[in-house]
Amino acid sequence: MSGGHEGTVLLADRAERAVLEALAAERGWSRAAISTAGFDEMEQVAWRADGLFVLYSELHPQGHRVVRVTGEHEAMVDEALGVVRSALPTVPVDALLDVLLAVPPADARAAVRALNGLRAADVWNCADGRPRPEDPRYRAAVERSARHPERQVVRALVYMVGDLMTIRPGIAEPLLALRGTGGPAADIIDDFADFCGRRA
Amino acid sequence: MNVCTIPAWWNELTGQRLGVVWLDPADWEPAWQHAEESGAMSPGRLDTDDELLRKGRLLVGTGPEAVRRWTGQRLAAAWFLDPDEPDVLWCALGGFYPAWLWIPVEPTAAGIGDALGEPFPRPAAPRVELTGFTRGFIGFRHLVTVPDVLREDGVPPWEQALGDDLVPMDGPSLDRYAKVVKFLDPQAWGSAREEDPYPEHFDAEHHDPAPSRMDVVPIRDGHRLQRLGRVPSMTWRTLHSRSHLSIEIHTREIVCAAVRYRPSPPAHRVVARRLNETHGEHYPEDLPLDVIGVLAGWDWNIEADLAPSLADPDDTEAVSVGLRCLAALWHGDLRSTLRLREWATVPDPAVRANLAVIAYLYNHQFLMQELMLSETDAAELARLEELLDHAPSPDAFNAFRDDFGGAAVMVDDSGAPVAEWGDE
Repeated sequence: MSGGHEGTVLLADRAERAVLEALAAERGWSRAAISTAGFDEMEQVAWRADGLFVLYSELHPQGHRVVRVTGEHEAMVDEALGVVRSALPTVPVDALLDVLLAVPPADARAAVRALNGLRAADVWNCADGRPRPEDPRYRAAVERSARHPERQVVRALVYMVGDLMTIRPGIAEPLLALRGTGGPAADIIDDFADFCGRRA
Repeated sequence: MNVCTIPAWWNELTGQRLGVVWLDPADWEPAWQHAEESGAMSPGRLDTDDELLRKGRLLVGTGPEAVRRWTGQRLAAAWFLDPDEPDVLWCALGGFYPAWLWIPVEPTAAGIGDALGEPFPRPAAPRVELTGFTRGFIGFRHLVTVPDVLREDGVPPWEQALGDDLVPMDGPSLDRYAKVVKFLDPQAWGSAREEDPYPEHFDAEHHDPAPSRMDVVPIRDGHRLQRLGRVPSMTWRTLHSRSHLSIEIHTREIVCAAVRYRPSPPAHRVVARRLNETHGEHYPEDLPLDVIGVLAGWDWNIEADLAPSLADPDDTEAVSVGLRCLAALWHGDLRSTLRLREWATVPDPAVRANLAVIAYLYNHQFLMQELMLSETDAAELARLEELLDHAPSPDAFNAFRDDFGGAAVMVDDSGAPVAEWGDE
C-alpha cells in the first residue's frame, strides 16, 4: 500500500459501485486486488495508480461503504478524493454529526444510521491506531445521544464509542458519567462502564 | 457425400492458416450427425431448439482444440454452414456445444478471429481480472438436482455415462456431475481457496493426474475445504472463457450460481441475446457461452423473477422466502442489501424471523438494529439484543453434505479444522 497521506470518504446509500469501477477504468487505475464478502471479511476492490492506492470497502456489519485513498503525495491523494466525491454521492462526517446534535433529537433510525456512519468513517483510523485531531462535536454528540429516549440509539452509541475511543480520547466520558443514573438504557451504560473498568 | 453449391468465399478462406481443418466439400455432412454430448443438463425446449437449428446445416470444419485440464480431452471447435444462408458460418467453440450456442460468423479471417478470440482458448486469469460478475437463484437445497452419474469400473470419471435419474444436489453428486460436463474443468475448489488452486499442467512427478486419483488429490491437498465465515461454495473453471462458476449455498438452503468472468467478445453476445429473447432467459449479454452451457440446465432467477414473491404483503411465507433469496442475490452488494431495511418494520413474525436469520448468518448487524427499532414484543427484543451483544458467530453448517473420509470439511481463518454440523 502506498503510504504517507490518506483520506477516507463515506459513500451515500445510493452510490453505485459500478460508477466507481468505471471511474477507475477511465483514470487508468489498475485493479490490484479483490476480496469477497464473508461473515468477518469485507467486500473490497483495490486499484493502484502511480503513487496512489484506492480501496473500496463494504462494512456490512455497519451498513456503510467507504473509499480510502492513500499515497505518497498529499496533493495527489486530495485530487483523487476530490474525483471520487465528484463522481459519487458521499456523506460528510459533518452531516452525521449534525444528525446527532439535532434539536429536538433526531429520529431513532436516523441516529442509529449516523452512529454507524461515524464508525465507518473512522474504520481505517481505528485499524491503524491513528489518533484524530480533537473535535468537540464528537463528545457533544455522545452527550446528546446518551440521553436519547430510544434504547437502541444508546446501544448503537456504545458500539460507536467502543470503536472510536482509542483514537478520539475523551468521548467515553459523557457515557461513563451517566452510570447509575437510571433510565431505559441504564443496563447498557453500566455494562459499558464495567467494560471500560476492565480495560483500564 | 454432400452435393451443394460451394460458397464464393470458400477457397480464399480455407487457404489461410486459421487453425481450422476444413473438410473437403465432398465430405460435408449434416450437422445432426455430429451432435456430441456435452454432459450438461438442458431443458427440453433447448433440446428442441438444437434440433431445429441443426436442420440444413453442414459440418464443414473442425478446430482449433482446447484441452480439458486434468483429463487431457482434446475438444475441437466445429464449423457449420447452411447452404441456404451461404454468407454465414456458424462456430461451435466445442463440437459438443448445442446449436443454440453457435456463433454466427462472417466467413473471413477476421470473422473467425472474432469468434475464436486470440489466443484460443483464453488464458487463465486471477480473480481480480475477472471483472464481470453475476449471480442467479437456482433453487432450494432440498429441491435442486443433478443427473446421477454411473460409476462403471475402469472408466475414467469424465467418461462415465449419465443415468436416467436425477439425484439431490450435494458435494459428491455435483462433483461427479461436473467431471462429465465438458464446459467445465473437472475439479472444483471450495470456499477456503480464493484462487484456482490447480496447476495448468499436470506432471507425473508432482501431480498425479491418474483417473483413480481425481477424487483423492483435491481432498488431500485441501482444495475442497470450506472456510468458516464464507458462503459455502464449489467453484469450477470453465473450459474456454476460464470463468469461475460457483454453486453457492446461502443461509443453509438457498442455492445460487455465481460467475466471475471476463466479458465475452462482442461476436458472442448475439447468442446470449437470442437466448434471452427466444427463451425468456435473463443472462447478461456478455456472459461467456461456456458458462451459459452449464447454467441452462437449471432455472436461473434474477431479482426481477423474485419480485412476484414480494408483491402480496399478506402472503408472509412467500415474502419470507423471497427475502432470503434476495439476500443471497445481493450478497457482496451492500447497496442492494440495504434495501432489506425496508422490510424491518413489517409486523409479521415470520417475515421478521427470516430477516433476523438473514442478519445473523450474514453478520448484517445494521439489519438487526433496524429490527430492534421496530420490535414491540419485549421477549423478542431481548432475544435480538442478546444475539447482537454476544457477537454473532459464523455458521459451521456442512451445506454440501461433504464427507472426506475423516479429513476436515471446514477450516477457520488460521487453517485449523472446524467442527461442522449437518442435516442429521
